[in-house]
Amino acid sequence: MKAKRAVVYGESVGGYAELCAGASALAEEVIAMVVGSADQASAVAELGVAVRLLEISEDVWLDDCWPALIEEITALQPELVLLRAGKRVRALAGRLSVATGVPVASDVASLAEAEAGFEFGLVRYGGATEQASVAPSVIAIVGPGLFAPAAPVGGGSVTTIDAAVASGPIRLLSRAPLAEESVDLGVAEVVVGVGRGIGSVENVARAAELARKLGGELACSRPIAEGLGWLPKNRYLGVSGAVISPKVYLALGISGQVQHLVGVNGSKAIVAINKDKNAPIFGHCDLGLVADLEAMLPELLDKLA
Amino acid sequence: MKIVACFKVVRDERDLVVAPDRTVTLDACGLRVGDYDLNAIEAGAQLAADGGELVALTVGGEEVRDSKLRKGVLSRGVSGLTAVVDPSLTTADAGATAEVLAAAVGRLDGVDLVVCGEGSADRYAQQVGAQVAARLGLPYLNEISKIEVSADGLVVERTLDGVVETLAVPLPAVLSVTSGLNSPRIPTMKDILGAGKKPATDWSLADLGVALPVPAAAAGPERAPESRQRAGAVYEAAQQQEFFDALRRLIGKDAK
Ligand SMILES: Cc1cc2nc3c(=O)[nH]c(=O)nc-3n(C[C@H](O)[C@H](O)[C@H](O)COP(=O)(O)OP(=O)(O)OC[C@H]3O[C@@H](n4cnc5c(N)ncnc54)[C@H](O)[C@@H]3O)c2cc1C
Repeated sequence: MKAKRAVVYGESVGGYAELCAGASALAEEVIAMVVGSADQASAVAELGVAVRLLEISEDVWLDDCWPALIEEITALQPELVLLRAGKRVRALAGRLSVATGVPVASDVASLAEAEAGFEFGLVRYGGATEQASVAPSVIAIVGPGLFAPAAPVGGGSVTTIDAAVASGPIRLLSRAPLAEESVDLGVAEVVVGVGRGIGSVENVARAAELARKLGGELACSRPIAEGLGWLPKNRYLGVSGAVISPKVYLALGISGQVQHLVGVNGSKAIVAINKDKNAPIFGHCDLGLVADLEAMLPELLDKLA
Repeated sequence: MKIVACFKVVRDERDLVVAPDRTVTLDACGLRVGDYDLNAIEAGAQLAADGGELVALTVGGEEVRDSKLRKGVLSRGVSGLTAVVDPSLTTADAGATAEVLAAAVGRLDGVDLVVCGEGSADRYAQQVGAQVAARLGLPYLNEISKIEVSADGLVVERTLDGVVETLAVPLPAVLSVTSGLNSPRIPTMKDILGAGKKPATDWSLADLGVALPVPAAAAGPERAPESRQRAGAVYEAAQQQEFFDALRRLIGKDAK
Protein backbone atom coordinates (compact mmCIF):
# COMPACT_ATOMS: atom_id res chain seq x y z
CA MET A 1 0.00 0.00 0.00
CA LYS A 2 1.26 3.44 -0.88
CA ALA A 3 2.36 5.48 2.13
CA LYS A 4 0.44 8.60 3.02
CA ARG A 5 3.18 11.10 3.48
CA ALA A 6 6.84 11.53 2.61
CA VAL A 7 9.15 14.33 3.63
CA VAL A 8 12.29 15.08 1.62
CA TYR A 9 15.31 17.21 2.52
CA GLY A 10 18.57 17.99 0.77
CA GLU A 11 21.28 20.46 1.65
CA SER A 12 21.35 21.99 -1.82
CA VAL A 13 18.62 22.55 -4.40
CA GLY A 14 20.25 20.15 -6.88
CA GLY A 15 19.33 17.01 -4.98
CA TYR A 16 15.58 17.56 -4.77
CA ALA A 17 14.58 16.49 -8.28
CA GLU A 18 15.63 12.89 -7.61
CA LEU A 19 14.26 12.83 -4.05
CA CYS A 20 10.88 14.20 -5.11
CA ALA A 21 10.58 11.67 -7.92
CA GLY A 22 11.33 8.82 -5.53
CA ALA A 23 9.00 10.17 -2.86
CA SER A 24 6.04 10.67 -5.21
CA ALA A 25 6.35 7.08 -6.38
CA LEU A 26 6.20 5.87 -2.78
CA ALA A 27 3.79 8.26 -1.05
CA GLU A 28 0.55 10.09 -1.79
CA GLU A 29 1.72 13.42 -0.43
CA VAL A 30 5.25 14.84 -0.73
CA ILE A 31 6.49 17.69 1.41
CA ALA A 32 9.91 19.20 0.73
CA MET A 33 11.75 20.89 3.58
CA VAL A 34 14.09 23.66 2.48
CA VAL A 35 16.46 25.43 4.85
CA GLY A 36 17.79 28.53 3.16
CA SER A 37 16.42 31.34 1.02
CA ALA A 38 13.04 32.05 -0.61
CA ASP A 39 14.74 31.66 -4.01
CA GLN A 40 15.87 28.16 -3.15
CA ALA A 41 12.37 27.31 -1.94
CA SER A 42 10.74 28.47 -5.19
CA ALA A 43 13.29 26.53 -7.21
CA VAL A 44 12.27 23.37 -5.37
CA ALA A 45 8.54 24.24 -5.66
CA GLU A 46 9.02 24.16 -9.44
CA LEU A 47 9.10 20.38 -9.07
CA GLY A 48 5.41 20.54 -8.21
CA VAL A 49 5.71 19.81 -4.51
CA ALA A 50 4.62 21.57 -1.34
CA VAL A 51 7.67 23.29 0.13
CA ARG A 52 8.07 24.28 3.76
CA LEU A 53 10.78 26.87 4.07
CA LEU A 54 12.87 27.56 7.13
CA GLU A 55 14.24 30.88 6.00
CA ILE A 56 17.71 31.72 7.25
CA SER A 57 20.41 34.19 6.28
CA GLU A 58 23.70 32.92 4.95
CA ASP A 59 25.61 33.53 8.16
CA VAL A 60 23.48 31.08 10.13
CA TRP A 61 25.20 27.76 10.86
CA LEU A 62 23.03 25.06 9.29
CA ASP A 63 23.36 22.68 12.23
CA ASP A 64 21.67 25.28 14.44
CA CYS A 65 18.55 24.74 12.33
CA TRP A 66 18.20 21.04 13.14
CA PRO A 67 15.97 21.42 16.25
CA ALA A 68 13.42 23.51 14.31
CA LEU A 69 13.59 21.22 11.29
CA ILE A 70 13.22 18.08 13.38
CA GLU A 71 10.25 19.54 15.23
CA GLU A 72 8.54 20.32 11.93
CA ILE A 73 9.21 16.88 10.45
CA THR A 74 8.15 15.08 13.63
CA ALA A 75 4.83 16.95 13.71
CA LEU A 76 4.07 15.83 10.15
CA GLN A 77 4.46 12.16 11.14
CA PRO A 78 5.65 11.04 7.72
CA GLU A 79 6.05 7.31 7.09
CA LEU A 80 8.98 8.05 4.83
CA VAL A 81 11.79 10.59 5.08
CA LEU A 82 14.24 10.85 2.20
CA LEU A 83 17.48 12.70 2.86
CA ARG A 84 19.96 13.48 0.11
CA ALA A 85 23.29 11.88 1.05
CA GLY A 86 25.80 14.38 2.39
CA LYS A 87 28.14 14.55 5.34
CA ARG A 88 26.14 17.10 7.31
CA VAL A 89 22.88 15.30 6.62
CA ARG A 90 24.13 12.14 8.37
CA ALA A 91 24.29 14.02 11.67
CA LEU A 92 20.75 15.30 11.13
CA ALA A 93 19.51 11.78 10.33
CA GLY A 94 20.78 10.37 13.62
CA ARG A 95 19.17 13.10 15.63
CA LEU A 96 15.89 12.76 13.76
CA SER A 97 15.94 8.99 14.30
CA VAL A 98 16.28 9.33 18.07
CA ALA A 99 13.56 12.01 18.15
CA THR A 100 11.08 9.90 16.15
CA GLY A 101 12.11 6.31 16.90
CA VAL A 102 12.25 5.65 13.16
CA PRO A 103 15.35 3.76 11.93
CA VAL A 104 17.86 5.24 9.50
CA ALA A 105 18.73 3.32 6.35
CA SER A 106 22.04 4.75 5.15
CA ASP A 107 22.86 4.81 1.44
CA VAL A 108 20.06 2.52 0.37
CA ALA A 109 20.79 0.39 -2.68
CA SER A 110 17.07 0.03 -3.31
CA LEU A 111 13.86 1.32 -1.80
CA ALA A 112 10.33 0.10 -2.55
CA GLU A 113 6.95 -0.12 -0.94
CA ALA A 114 6.23 -3.35 0.91
CA GLU A 115 3.10 -4.82 2.39
CA ALA A 116 4.02 -3.46 5.80
CA GLY A 117 5.85 -0.26 4.98
CA PHE A 118 9.06 -0.18 2.99
CA GLU A 119 11.65 -2.64 1.83
CA PHE A 120 15.17 -1.31 1.47
CA GLY A 121 18.45 -2.89 0.44
CA LEU A 122 21.67 -2.13 2.28
CA VAL A 123 25.20 -3.21 1.51
CA ARG A 124 27.47 -4.62 4.20
CA TYR A 125 31.24 -4.76 4.38
CA GLY A 126 31.51 -2.16 1.66
CA GLY A 127 29.71 -4.34 -0.85
CA ALA A 128 30.81 -7.89 0.05
CA THR A 129 27.26 -8.70 1.09
CA GLU A 130 23.82 -7.17 0.80
CA GLN A 131 20.72 -7.46 2.92
CA ALA A 132 17.09 -6.46 2.48
CA SER A 133 15.10 -5.13 5.42
CA VAL A 134 11.48 -4.18 5.98
CA ALA A 135 10.23 -1.45 8.31
CA PRO A 136 6.87 0.31 8.67
CA SER A 137 8.60 3.65 8.55
CA VAL A 138 12.11 4.69 7.56
CA ILE A 139 14.51 7.61 7.26
CA ALA A 140 16.45 6.78 4.10
CA ILE A 141 19.70 8.47 3.13
CA VAL A 142 19.72 8.44 -0.65
CA GLY A 143 22.74 8.92 -2.88
CA PRO A 144 22.62 10.25 -6.44
CA GLY A 145 21.27 7.96 -9.13
CA LEU A 146 18.81 5.83 -7.12
CA PHE A 147 15.85 7.71 -8.61
CA ALA A 148 15.59 9.37 -12.00
CA PRO A 149 15.10 13.11 -11.47
CA ALA A 150 11.57 14.56 -11.67
CA ALA A 151 11.01 17.16 -14.38
CA PRO A 152 10.03 20.66 -13.21
CA VAL A 153 6.26 20.77 -13.77
CA GLY A 154 5.46 23.88 -11.73
CA GLY A 155 2.41 24.21 -9.54
CA GLY A 156 4.12 23.69 -6.21
CA SER A 157 3.67 25.90 -3.20
CA VAL A 158 5.86 27.50 -0.56
CA THR A 159 4.83 28.04 3.05
CA THR A 160 7.15 29.44 5.66
CA ILE A 161 7.99 27.59 8.85
CA ASP A 162 7.43 29.89 11.78
CA ALA A 163 10.25 28.91 14.09
CA ALA A 164 13.11 30.70 15.74
CA VAL A 165 16.62 29.44 15.07
CA ALA A 166 18.79 29.83 18.17
CA SER A 167 22.47 29.00 18.54
CA GLY A 168 23.20 25.82 20.43
CA PRO A 169 26.15 24.94 22.67
CA ILE A 170 28.53 24.57 19.70
CA ARG A 171 29.83 27.83 18.22
CA LEU A 172 30.93 28.25 14.63
CA LEU A 173 34.20 30.20 14.73
CA SER A 174 34.94 30.31 11.01
CA ARG A 175 34.41 28.48 7.76
CA ALA A 176 36.43 28.24 4.60
CA PRO A 177 35.54 26.75 1.24
CA LEU A 178 37.32 23.46 0.71
CA ALA A 179 39.82 24.20 -2.04
CA GLU A 180 39.40 21.14 -4.24
CA GLU A 181 39.40 21.35 -8.01
CA SER A 182 36.17 19.87 -9.25
CA VAL A 183 36.46 16.71 -11.30
CA ASP A 184 33.89 14.56 -13.03
CA LEU A 185 35.36 11.08 -13.16
CA GLY A 186 32.04 9.81 -14.48
CA VAL A 187 32.47 11.15 -18.02
CA ALA A 188 35.99 9.84 -18.74
CA GLU A 189 36.24 6.87 -21.12
CA VAL A 190 39.55 5.77 -19.67
CA VAL A 191 40.31 6.04 -15.95
CA VAL A 192 43.73 5.26 -14.50
CA GLY A 193 43.45 4.34 -10.82
CA VAL A 194 46.48 4.27 -8.53
CA GLY A 195 46.73 2.37 -5.26
CA ARG A 196 49.32 2.07 -2.54
CA GLY A 197 51.44 -0.03 -4.87
CA ILE A 198 52.18 3.07 -6.98
CA GLY A 199 54.90 3.67 -4.42
CA SER A 200 55.69 7.39 -4.66
CA VAL A 201 54.39 10.85 -5.49
CA GLU A 202 56.70 10.82 -8.52
CA ASN A 203 54.97 7.71 -9.80
CA VAL A 204 51.56 9.30 -9.20
CA ALA A 205 52.71 12.12 -11.47
CA ARG A 206 53.72 9.54 -14.09
CA ALA A 207 50.31 7.89 -13.83
CA ALA A 208 48.72 11.35 -14.27
CA GLU A 209 50.75 11.84 -17.41
CA LEU A 210 49.60 8.44 -18.67
CA ALA A 211 45.96 9.31 -17.97
CA ARG A 212 46.38 12.63 -19.79
CA LYS A 213 47.97 10.98 -22.81
CA LEU A 214 45.13 8.48 -22.98
CA GLY A 215 42.62 11.32 -22.83
CA GLY A 216 41.35 10.02 -19.51
CA GLU A 217 41.28 10.91 -15.83
CA LEU A 218 43.41 9.94 -12.87
CA ALA A 219 41.70 8.34 -9.86
CA CYS A 220 42.88 6.35 -6.84
CA SER A 221 42.08 4.06 -3.94
CA ARG A 222 40.98 5.56 -0.65
CA PRO A 223 44.32 5.25 1.19
CA ILE A 224 46.02 7.33 -1.52
CA ALA A 225 43.59 10.20 -0.89
CA GLU A 226 42.88 9.79 2.79
CA GLY A 227 45.95 8.37 4.49
CA LEU A 228 48.75 9.41 2.17
CA GLY A 229 47.07 12.53 0.81
CA TRP A 230 48.76 12.15 -2.59
CA LEU A 231 45.56 12.98 -4.46
CA PRO A 232 42.44 14.96 -3.47
CA LYS A 233 39.54 13.08 -1.87
CA ASN A 234 37.20 13.62 -4.79
CA ARG A 235 39.43 11.32 -6.86
CA TYR A 236 39.06 8.14 -4.86
CA LEU A 237 36.80 5.38 -6.07
CA GLY A 238 34.70 2.96 -4.11
CA VAL A 239 31.85 2.47 -1.71
CA SER A 240 32.58 5.71 0.13
CA GLY A 241 34.01 7.50 -2.91
CA ALA A 242 33.11 7.97 -6.57
CA VAL A 243 31.45 5.28 -8.69
CA ILE A 244 32.44 5.09 -12.35
CA SER A 245 31.69 3.01 -15.43
CA PRO A 246 34.30 3.90 -18.05
CA LYS A 247 35.24 1.91 -21.12
CA VAL A 248 38.54 0.96 -19.53
CA TYR A 249 39.62 1.12 -15.89
CA LEU A 250 43.37 0.63 -15.47
CA ALA A 251 44.21 -0.27 -11.86
CA LEU A 252 47.85 0.32 -10.98
CA GLY A 253 49.04 -1.13 -7.66
CA ILE A 254 45.53 -1.64 -6.30
CA SER A 255 44.91 -4.83 -4.32
CA GLY A 256 41.23 -5.04 -5.26
CA GLN A 257 39.36 -5.05 -1.95
CA VAL A 258 35.60 -5.13 -2.34
CA GLN A 259 35.24 -1.59 -0.93
CA HIS A 260 37.23 -0.31 -3.92
CA LEU A 261 35.80 -2.66 -6.54
CA VAL A 262 32.18 -1.59 -6.02
CA GLY A 263 33.24 1.80 -7.38
CA VAL A 264 34.57 0.33 -10.65
CA ASN A 265 32.50 -2.81 -11.21
CA GLY A 266 30.48 -1.04 -13.88
CA SER A 267 33.57 -0.59 -16.07
CA LYS A 268 33.38 -2.23 -19.45
CA ALA A 269 36.90 -3.59 -18.99
CA ILE A 270 39.07 -3.73 -15.89
CA VAL A 271 42.81 -3.96 -16.47
CA ALA A 272 45.20 -4.49 -13.57
CA ILE A 273 48.92 -4.29 -12.98
CA ASN A 274 50.12 -5.61 -9.63
CA LYS A 275 53.35 -7.26 -8.55
CA ASP A 276 51.54 -9.87 -6.45
CA LYS A 277 50.06 -12.57 -8.65
CA ASN A 278 47.69 -13.50 -5.80
CA ALA A 279 46.25 -9.98 -5.47
CA PRO A 280 42.42 -10.16 -5.38
CA ILE A 281 42.19 -7.71 -8.29
CA PHE A 282 43.34 -10.46 -10.67
CA GLY A 283 40.17 -12.37 -9.87
CA HIS A 284 38.07 -9.41 -11.00
CA CYS A 285 39.82 -8.17 -14.12
CA ASP A 286 39.56 -8.73 -17.84
CA LEU A 287 43.24 -8.25 -18.45
CA GLY A 288 46.13 -8.32 -16.02
CA LEU A 289 49.89 -8.09 -15.82
CA VAL A 290 51.98 -9.35 -12.92
CA ALA A 291 54.75 -6.77 -12.78
CA ASP A 292 56.54 -4.24 -10.61
CA LEU A 293 55.27 -0.77 -11.45
CA GLU A 294 58.59 0.81 -10.64
CA ALA A 295 59.92 -0.75 -13.84
CA MET A 296 56.65 -0.94 -15.75
CA LEU A 297 55.46 2.69 -15.54
CA PRO A 298 58.02 4.07 -18.02
CA GLU A 299 57.18 1.16 -20.36
CA LEU A 300 53.48 1.97 -20.08
CA LEU A 301 54.08 5.61 -20.95
CA ASP A 302 56.26 4.61 -23.86
CA LYS A 303 54.02 1.88 -25.27
CA LEU A 304 50.63 3.51 -24.80
CA ALA A 305 51.13 7.19 -25.30
CA MET B 1 39.75 14.55 30.82
CA LYS B 2 37.79 11.29 30.88
CA ILE B 3 37.40 9.99 27.35
CA VAL B 4 35.50 7.05 25.88
CA ALA B 5 36.45 5.70 22.44
CA CYS B 6 33.86 3.41 20.87
CA PHE B 7 34.88 0.49 18.68
CA LYS B 8 33.13 -2.39 16.95
CA VAL B 9 34.36 -5.95 16.54
CA VAL B 10 33.54 -7.14 13.03
CA ARG B 11 34.12 -10.17 10.85
CA ASP B 12 36.88 -10.02 8.29
CA GLU B 13 34.94 -10.18 5.04
CA ARG B 14 38.02 -11.25 3.10
CA ASP B 15 37.45 -14.79 4.45
CA LEU B 16 33.80 -14.79 3.38
CA VAL B 17 32.41 -18.10 2.09
CA VAL B 18 29.75 -17.72 -0.60
CA ALA B 19 27.41 -20.63 -1.43
CA PRO B 20 26.10 -21.20 -4.99
CA ASP B 21 22.78 -19.60 -4.01
CA ARG B 22 24.80 -16.54 -2.92
CA THR B 23 24.06 -16.95 0.79
CA VAL B 24 27.14 -16.24 2.87
CA THR B 25 28.74 -17.78 5.93
CA LEU B 26 30.54 -15.35 8.17
CA ASP B 27 31.31 -17.75 11.04
CA ALA B 28 34.60 -18.83 9.52
CA CYS B 29 35.77 -15.25 9.10
CA GLY B 30 38.39 -13.90 11.47
CA LEU B 31 37.62 -11.03 13.83
CA ARG B 32 39.01 -7.54 13.68
CA VAL B 33 38.41 -4.08 15.08
CA GLY B 34 36.74 -1.84 12.50
CA ASP B 35 39.40 -0.01 10.48
CA TYR B 36 38.05 3.46 11.23
CA ASP B 37 37.45 2.76 14.92
CA LEU B 38 41.23 2.66 15.27
CA ASN B 39 41.22 6.38 14.40
CA ALA B 40 38.76 7.01 17.25
CA ILE B 41 40.93 5.09 19.72
CA GLU B 42 44.04 6.94 18.49
CA ALA B 43 42.31 10.32 18.84
CA GLY B 44 41.31 9.43 22.39
CA ALA B 45 44.79 8.15 23.21
CA GLN B 46 46.42 11.37 22.00
CA LEU B 47 44.02 13.53 24.03
CA ALA B 48 44.47 11.34 27.12
CA ALA B 49 48.27 11.26 26.78
CA ASP B 50 48.83 14.06 29.28
CA GLY B 51 47.03 12.92 32.38
CA GLY B 52 43.67 11.89 30.95
CA GLU B 53 41.85 8.58 31.10
CA LEU B 54 40.71 6.66 28.02
CA VAL B 55 38.20 3.82 28.16
CA ALA B 56 37.73 1.76 25.00
CA LEU B 57 34.07 0.78 24.84
CA THR B 58 32.40 -1.84 22.69
CA VAL B 59 29.04 -3.59 22.54
CA GLY B 60 28.50 -6.93 20.83
CA GLY B 61 28.02 -10.68 21.18
CA GLU B 62 30.50 -13.29 22.41
CA GLU B 63 32.98 -12.12 19.74
CA VAL B 64 33.86 -9.07 21.84
CA ARG B 65 35.39 -11.38 24.49
CA ASP B 66 38.13 -12.49 22.08
CA SER B 67 41.29 -12.12 24.16
CA LYS B 68 43.71 -11.46 21.32
CA LEU B 69 41.53 -8.71 20.00
CA ARG B 70 41.18 -7.18 23.45
CA LYS B 71 44.91 -7.20 23.92
CA GLY B 72 45.27 -5.39 20.61
CA VAL B 73 42.92 -2.63 21.74
CA LEU B 74 44.51 -2.41 25.20
CA SER B 75 47.92 -1.86 23.58
CA ARG B 76 46.77 1.34 21.86
CA GLY B 77 47.18 3.89 24.62
CA VAL B 78 43.97 3.13 26.47
CA SER B 79 43.56 2.90 30.26
CA GLY B 80 41.02 0.08 30.18
CA LEU B 81 38.35 -1.67 28.15
CA THR B 82 34.65 -2.07 28.82
CA ALA B 83 32.37 -4.37 26.85
CA VAL B 84 28.62 -4.81 26.95
CA VAL B 85 28.01 -8.41 25.92
CA ASP B 86 24.77 -10.00 24.78
CA PRO B 87 24.25 -12.52 21.95
CA SER B 88 21.58 -10.28 20.40
CA LEU B 89 24.07 -7.47 19.95
CA THR B 90 26.07 -9.25 17.22
CA THR B 91 23.47 -8.17 14.68
CA ALA B 92 22.39 -4.94 16.37
CA ASP B 93 21.64 -2.05 14.03
CA ALA B 94 22.87 1.50 14.59
CA GLY B 95 19.86 2.46 16.69
CA ALA B 96 20.19 -0.46 19.11
CA THR B 97 23.97 -0.09 19.27
CA ALA B 98 23.62 3.59 20.13
CA GLU B 99 21.03 2.83 22.80
CA VAL B 100 23.35 0.40 24.58
CA LEU B 101 26.46 2.57 24.12
CA ALA B 102 24.64 5.58 25.55
CA ALA B 103 23.59 3.58 28.60
CA ALA B 104 27.17 2.37 29.06
CA VAL B 105 28.60 5.89 28.79
CA GLY B 106 26.08 7.00 31.42
CA ARG B 107 27.18 4.16 33.68
CA LEU B 108 30.89 4.97 33.21
CA ASP B 109 30.05 8.31 34.82
CA GLY B 110 31.81 11.65 34.51
CA VAL B 111 32.71 11.16 30.85
CA ASP B 112 33.88 14.39 29.18
CA LEU B 113 34.22 13.19 25.63
CA VAL B 114 32.97 10.27 23.54
CA VAL B 115 34.87 9.61 20.31
CA CYS B 116 33.47 7.41 17.55
CA GLY B 117 34.98 6.36 14.24
CA GLU B 118 33.61 7.55 10.94
CA GLY B 119 31.63 4.36 10.37
CA SER B 120 31.75 0.67 11.22
CA ALA B 121 33.54 -1.69 8.85
CA ASP B 122 30.47 -3.85 8.31
CA ARG B 123 27.41 -1.58 8.24
CA TYR B 124 29.11 1.77 7.69
CA ALA B 125 25.83 3.54 8.42
CA GLN B 126 27.71 6.47 10.02
CA GLN B 127 24.92 6.82 12.54
CA VAL B 128 26.10 5.59 15.92
CA GLY B 129 27.93 8.76 17.05
CA ALA B 130 24.98 11.01 16.20
CA GLN B 131 22.51 8.72 17.94
CA VAL B 132 24.62 8.26 21.07
CA ALA B 133 24.83 12.05 21.36
CA ALA B 134 21.11 12.52 20.80
CA ARG B 135 20.28 9.91 23.43
CA LEU B 136 22.61 11.53 25.96
CA GLY B 137 21.48 15.04 25.00
CA LEU B 138 25.08 16.05 24.25
CA PRO B 139 26.50 18.34 21.56
CA TYR B 140 27.62 16.34 18.51
CA LEU B 141 29.75 16.84 15.42
CA ASN B 142 30.75 14.40 12.71
CA GLU B 143 33.59 14.51 10.16
CA ILE B 144 36.14 15.88 12.62
CA SER B 145 39.51 16.26 10.92
CA LYS B 146 41.42 18.11 13.68
CA ILE B 147 41.06 18.39 17.48
CA GLU B 148 42.70 20.89 19.82
CA VAL B 149 42.11 21.35 23.54
CA SER B 150 41.11 24.90 24.50
CA ALA B 151 40.47 26.68 27.80
CA ASP B 152 36.77 25.83 27.82
CA GLY B 153 36.50 22.67 25.77
CA LEU B 154 37.72 21.76 22.31
CA VAL B 155 38.32 23.60 19.07
CA VAL B 156 37.78 21.27 16.14
CA GLU B 157 37.93 21.31 12.38
CA ARG B 158 35.09 19.65 10.51
CA THR B 159 35.60 18.77 6.84
CA LEU B 160 32.28 18.62 5.00
CA ASP B 161 31.34 18.55 1.32
CA GLY B 162 33.01 21.68 -0.03
CA VAL B 163 33.55 23.50 3.27
CA VAL B 164 35.79 23.29 6.33
CA GLU B 165 34.28 24.59 9.56
CA THR B 166 36.18 25.56 12.70
CA LEU B 167 34.01 25.13 15.79
CA ALA B 168 34.22 25.56 19.54
CA VAL B 169 32.72 22.56 21.34
CA PRO B 170 31.96 22.65 25.07
CA LEU B 171 32.37 19.41 27.03
CA PRO B 172 30.87 16.92 27.55
CA ALA B 173 30.37 16.15 23.87
CA VAL B 174 30.40 13.38 21.28
CA LEU B 175 32.58 13.50 18.14
CA SER B 176 32.87 11.23 15.11
CA VAL B 177 36.32 11.52 13.57
CA THR B 178 37.50 11.04 9.99
CA SER B 179 40.04 8.43 8.97
CA GLY B 180 42.33 11.29 7.91
CA LEU B 181 42.52 12.73 11.45
CA ASN B 182 45.47 10.59 12.50
CA SER B 183 47.44 7.46 11.72
CA PRO B 184 46.63 4.77 14.29
CA ARG B 185 49.78 3.72 16.16
CA ILE B 186 51.48 0.41 15.61
CA PRO B 187 51.75 -0.99 19.16
CA THR B 188 55.30 -1.67 20.34
CA MET B 189 56.39 -4.81 22.20
CA LYS B 190 56.21 -2.78 25.42
CA ASP B 191 52.62 -1.68 24.63
CA ILE B 192 51.60 -5.27 23.99
CA LEU B 193 53.21 -6.55 27.20
CA GLY B 194 51.60 -3.71 29.17
CA ALA B 195 48.18 -4.51 27.72
CA GLY B 196 47.90 -7.70 29.78
CA LYS B 197 47.90 -5.67 33.00
CA LYS B 198 45.11 -3.30 31.97
CA PRO B 199 41.58 -3.83 33.28
CA ALA B 200 38.80 -5.23 31.08
CA THR B 201 35.23 -5.14 32.37
CA ASP B 202 32.21 -6.97 30.96
CA TRP B 203 28.67 -5.80 31.52
CA SER B 204 25.42 -7.49 30.59
CA LEU B 205 22.36 -5.60 29.37
CA ALA B 206 20.83 -6.31 32.79
CA ASP B 207 23.80 -4.63 34.49
CA LEU B 208 22.91 -1.49 32.55
CA GLY B 209 19.19 -1.84 33.08
CA VAL B 210 18.66 -1.86 29.32
CA ALA B 211 15.98 -4.09 27.81
CA LEU B 212 16.88 -6.23 24.81
CA PRO B 213 16.73 -3.76 21.94
CA VAL B 214 13.92 -4.52 19.53
CA PRO B 215 15.16 -4.32 15.93
CA ALA B 216 13.52 -1.36 14.20
CA ALA B 217 13.56 -3.18 10.88
CA ALA B 218 13.11 -6.87 10.02
CA ALA B 219 16.27 -7.94 8.21
CA GLY B 220 16.46 -10.75 5.65
CA PRO B 221 19.46 -13.01 5.04
CA GLU B 222 22.81 -11.56 4.04
CA ARG B 223 23.80 -12.49 0.49
CA ALA B 224 26.72 -11.88 -1.78
CA PRO B 225 25.83 -9.57 -4.65
CA GLU B 226 25.64 -10.99 -8.15
CA SER B 227 29.13 -10.75 -9.49
CA ARG B 228 30.11 -10.34 -13.07
CA GLN B 229 32.48 -12.84 -14.59
CA ARG B 230 35.40 -11.19 -16.31
CA ALA B 231 37.81 -12.61 -18.85
CA GLY B 232 40.69 -12.77 -16.38
CA ALA B 233 43.57 -12.96 -18.87
CA VAL B 234 46.52 -12.39 -16.55
CA TYR B 235 50.02 -12.31 -18.05
CA GLU B 236 53.38 -12.70 -16.36
CA ALA B 237 55.99 -9.98 -16.93
CA ALA B 238 57.73 -12.15 -19.55
CA GLN B 239 54.59 -11.96 -21.71
CA GLN B 240 54.22 -8.22 -21.46
CA GLN B 241 54.08 -7.86 -25.23
CA GLU B 242 50.80 -9.80 -25.32
CA PHE B 243 49.51 -7.69 -22.45
CA PHE B 244 50.34 -4.42 -24.20
CA ASP B 245 48.79 -5.58 -27.46
CA ALA B 246 45.55 -6.50 -25.69
CA LEU B 247 45.53 -3.25 -23.73
CA ARG B 248 46.06 -1.17 -26.87
CA ARG B 249 43.11 -2.92 -28.46
CA LEU B 250 40.95 -2.14 -25.43
CA ILE B 251 41.74 1.55 -25.40
CA GLY B 252 41.57 1.78 -29.16
CA LYS B 253 45.23 2.56 -29.83
CA ASP B 254 46.92 0.84 -32.72
CA ALA B 255 50.05 -1.15 -32.09
CA LYS B 256 53.18 0.92 -32.27
C1 LIG C 1 34.02 1.05 5.69
C2 LIG C 1 35.14 1.06 4.68
C3 LIG C 1 34.99 1.79 3.52
C4 LIG C 1 36.00 1.81 2.56
N1 LIG C 1 35.80 2.50 1.41
C5 LIG C 1 36.76 2.47 0.45
C6 LIG C 1 36.57 3.12 -0.82
O1 LIG C 1 35.53 3.74 -1.07
N2 LIG C 1 37.55 3.05 -1.75
C7 LIG C 1 38.72 2.36 -1.54
O2 LIG C 1 39.59 2.34 -2.43
N3 LIG C 1 38.94 1.74 -0.37
C8 LIG C 1 37.99 1.78 0.64
N4 LIG C 1 38.22 1.15 1.83
C9 LIG C 1 39.56 0.56 2.06
C10 LIG C 1 39.72 -0.80 1.41
O3 LIG C 1 39.25 -1.78 2.32
C11 LIG C 1 41.21 -1.11 1.13
O4 LIG C 1 41.93 -0.97 2.33
C12 LIG C 1 41.82 -0.19 0.08
O5 LIG C 1 41.01 -0.13 -1.07
C13 LIG C 1 43.19 -0.69 -0.29
O6 LIG C 1 43.83 0.25 -1.11
P1 LIG C 1 45.05 -0.15 -2.05
O7 LIG C 1 44.61 -1.23 -2.97
O8 LIG C 1 45.57 1.10 -2.65
O9 LIG C 1 46.17 -0.64 -1.02
P2 LIG C 1 46.64 -2.09 -0.62
O10 LIG C 1 45.52 -2.96 -0.25
O11 LIG C 1 47.73 -1.89 0.34
O12 LIG C 1 47.22 -2.70 -1.97
C14 LIG C 1 48.38 -2.29 -2.60
C15 LIG C 1 48.65 -3.23 -3.75
O13 LIG C 1 49.77 -2.77 -4.48
C16 LIG C 1 50.57 -3.88 -4.84
N5 LIG C 1 51.94 -3.37 -5.01
C17 LIG C 1 52.79 -2.94 -4.05
N6 LIG C 1 53.94 -2.53 -4.59
C18 LIG C 1 53.82 -2.67 -5.94
C19 LIG C 1 54.68 -2.41 -7.04
N7 LIG C 1 55.90 -1.90 -6.89
N8 LIG C 1 54.23 -2.70 -8.29
C20 LIG C 1 53.00 -3.24 -8.46
N9 LIG C 1 52.14 -3.48 -7.45
C21 LIG C 1 52.55 -3.22 -6.21
C22 LIG C 1 50.42 -4.87 -3.73
O14 LIG C 1 50.67 -6.17 -4.21
C23 LIG C 1 48.97 -4.65 -3.31
O15 LIG C 1 48.11 -5.56 -3.98
C24 LIG C 1 37.21 1.11 2.80
C25 LIG C 1 37.37 0.39 3.97
C26 LIG C 1 36.35 0.36 4.92
C27 LIG C 1 36.54 -0.43 6.18
